[in-house]
Amino acid sequence: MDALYDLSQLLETGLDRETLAVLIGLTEQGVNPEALAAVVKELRRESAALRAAEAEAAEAEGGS
Amino acid sequence: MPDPTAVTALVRALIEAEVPELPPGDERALRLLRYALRILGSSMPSALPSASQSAELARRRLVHAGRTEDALALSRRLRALEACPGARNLPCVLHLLTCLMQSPPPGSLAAFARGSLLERTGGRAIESGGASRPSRAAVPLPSRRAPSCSDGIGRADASALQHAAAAAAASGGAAATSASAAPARTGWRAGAGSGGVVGEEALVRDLLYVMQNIEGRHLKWDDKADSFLFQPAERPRGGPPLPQLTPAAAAAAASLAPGVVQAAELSEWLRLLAVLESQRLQGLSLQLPACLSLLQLLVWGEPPLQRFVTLVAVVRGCSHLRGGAMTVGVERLGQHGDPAVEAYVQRLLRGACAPLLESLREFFIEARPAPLAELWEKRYALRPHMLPCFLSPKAASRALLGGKAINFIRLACGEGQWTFDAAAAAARGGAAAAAAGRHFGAAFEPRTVNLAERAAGEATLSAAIECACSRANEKLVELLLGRHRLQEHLTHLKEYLLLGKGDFVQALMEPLLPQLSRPASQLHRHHLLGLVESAVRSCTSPGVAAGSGNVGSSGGGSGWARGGSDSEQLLLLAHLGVLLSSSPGATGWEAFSLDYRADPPVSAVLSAAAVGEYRRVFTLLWRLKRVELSLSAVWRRHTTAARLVRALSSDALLHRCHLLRHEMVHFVFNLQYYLMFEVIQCSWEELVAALAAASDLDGLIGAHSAFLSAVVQKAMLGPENAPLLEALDALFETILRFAKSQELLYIHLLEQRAAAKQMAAAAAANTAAGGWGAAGAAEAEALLAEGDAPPLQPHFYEQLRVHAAQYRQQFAAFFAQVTRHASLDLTFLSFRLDFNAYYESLGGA
Repeated sequence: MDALYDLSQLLETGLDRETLAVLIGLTEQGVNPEALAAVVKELRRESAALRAAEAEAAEAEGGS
Repeated sequence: MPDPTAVTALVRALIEAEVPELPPGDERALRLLRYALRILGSSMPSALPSASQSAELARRRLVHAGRTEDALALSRRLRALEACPGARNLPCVLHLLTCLMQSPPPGSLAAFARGSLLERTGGRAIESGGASRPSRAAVPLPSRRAPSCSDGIGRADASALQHAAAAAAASGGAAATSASAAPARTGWRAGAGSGGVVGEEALVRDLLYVMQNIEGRHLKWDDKADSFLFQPAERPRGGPPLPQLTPAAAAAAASLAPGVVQAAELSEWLRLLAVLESQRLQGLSLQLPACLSLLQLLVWGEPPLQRFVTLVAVVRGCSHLRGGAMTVGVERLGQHGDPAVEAYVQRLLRGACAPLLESLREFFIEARPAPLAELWEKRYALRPHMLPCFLSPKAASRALLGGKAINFIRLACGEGQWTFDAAAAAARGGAAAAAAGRHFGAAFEPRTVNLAERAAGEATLSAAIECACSRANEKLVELLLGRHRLQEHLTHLKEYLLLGKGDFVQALMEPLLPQLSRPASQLHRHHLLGLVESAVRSCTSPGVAAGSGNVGSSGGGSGWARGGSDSEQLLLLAHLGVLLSSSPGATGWEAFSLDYRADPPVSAVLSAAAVGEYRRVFTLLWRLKRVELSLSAVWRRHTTAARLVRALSSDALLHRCHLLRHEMVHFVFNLQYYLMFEVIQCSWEELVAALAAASDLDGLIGAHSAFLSAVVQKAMLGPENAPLLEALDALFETILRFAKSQELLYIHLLEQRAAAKQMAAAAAANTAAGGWGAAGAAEAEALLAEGDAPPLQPHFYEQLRVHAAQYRQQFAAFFAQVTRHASLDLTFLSFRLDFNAYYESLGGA
């Protein structure tokens, strides 16, 4: 497990331990890894979008 | 089999981990969950790469990113992992990790996200016309996800593309790449989500196939439209790029057909396609931002498309032409307004001209089958319409000449392996040609070239051709004059066929005289040939004695003997022959003529036609000789008779005979002089000078034929001199008849004399025997005693008068024609014939 975490750190996947654990769990369930990776990327994007939206809202409030 | 509940739980946990901003019970979280589940539930097309493959990929990318020590660390870790017992999913995990590798950290996703946001709301943004509001971020998602709304998605895609283009134009490279990534993403997403809609990625793949002239899954070749059409019959999505790429595909198809195969072009095109394909595959497998999209395909494909369109036009225009004509056609097509097109066509032209420069001969010179004897004339001819554009006709004819010379040398002169100074000249010529080619390459640069440069290039090329040509011709002339002894052949011809060698003629005439009076059917070639040979031998200095060899027989009635070594006599004998023309009822005189047979190299100059001309002149001269001989025979008879019949010299009849004979002799001698010296010898001098000055075989042939035609012309054998020739013939006939009658006269005289002698002898014998002399003894005695000429029969007088009248008349006619003739030489002849104005006075009187 740690080895995997080290590996993911090396490859700069941006995953923390818990996410990695979840992902590994999902792969053990037989999920297609590519789809999984796509999901992860989507989620990341969503999160980024949300954060950006929040930042904009904060700026708007700060400005007004 | 994935356990749904477990998966759901895990995915929820994932969402919580990845998207911490959302409160867990949020509706959006639920939506995300459903969305994630859908993705996971869809079937992805690609197969799972093995652990080593993923590892290799990861390693490569690490190295590419410059982190080599990390790559090494990776290998170490992997080995450790493989040893680890709990690693049964290693391939999956590795694949996952590699996919997630180098995803930019969430912070820097802002710009990316903005682009994607813009893109996502593109459909709505066009209607609303405003920048997207973040609250709308999630809203378009459901509408897009709906599989039933294929049209909407289609529209969204199209507008997405357009918007992506706009975005690309507006915000520069990063946005462009992200925007182009996004349509691919959405396309993929749509393709993954709804099965009935063809995704962009599939389109891209198909397009790549199409560009290689292979039918893709969705783009099929349609013969009617002569292009690739999009099927299934949905409205073509991504409208703008597609129609433009289909002509490119058509062009690719056409150019792959036989025709002008510009291998370089094709390989370039294929290379581009390979790059694009690799890009696409790369993007597909790794979900990189820089993956292939329709737009990219369009942009990349645009220049080659233009080129291909031009190429197709050129191919269609020139497909029926060959060789040099093709280059002319290509050049004509290259006069296009668009400089890019022109440049391209010029490049094509250069490529097309390159093989031409090496093998100039094959294209615009055609080879026709011709026998070896006519090699020079008939074998090669110029095909002017196939002349390549940079070669002027003059240079082409020079090249033809050079080529013919070389070929002639190789084939006819038997110097099979002769190459003119092989390396040096070829190198020089080749270098010149290459330089010329480069000149042309430069000259073909668009527009700014001036004609002078092109002319300079042409000049270099023609100089190269000229150089090669002159060398070949020099060699040829040298060969002909030297090894094949052309000049000697011509000398032989002049001396023997044109009766230049007096002693030969004398030696020939004597034995032939009795033969030729017989009818021609009774004459045998070999017999005559033997006579000719002996005459030749007797008059030339005894050279190397050799056997007479075989008598070769050939069709057409000529036979000739073959000599063996190099002496002049044998050379002559090898070629001299006897021709018996087979007209029935003719005496030997008409049928006989000498023949000269020449072998291939020399026969280019001494063609059969030339030898025929020689024969005509020979006939004329031969008749003249015969006449002369008969006249001198008459004189000889007279002298012999005069010794026997002493009173002959004072006889009136005979005196008149003498006078007539003398006139005839005068005429004949002058004519002969004219023919031999003024006609033949003068032209011969000219011929020798021309032979020395000739630079190529054509020059030799021309000089020789000029010589022949001059001779024929001046010897009154030309077609316009036919009446003159007839008059001459009549004169000859008259003379011959006169000569014959003179012979009869003398024979008669001698017979008379012999009879008288006999009678006298008989009378003397009688007297000696004691009897009276014979009855006619008194007459005989009178004869003997007087020693006078007996009175001649009156018919001799008659004959003489007739002959004289005839002769004078014919001569007057002939003479009148000669004096009135346009040619200067004949005027001189007439002057000589009538040097004391005798005939003039006769004619006037």
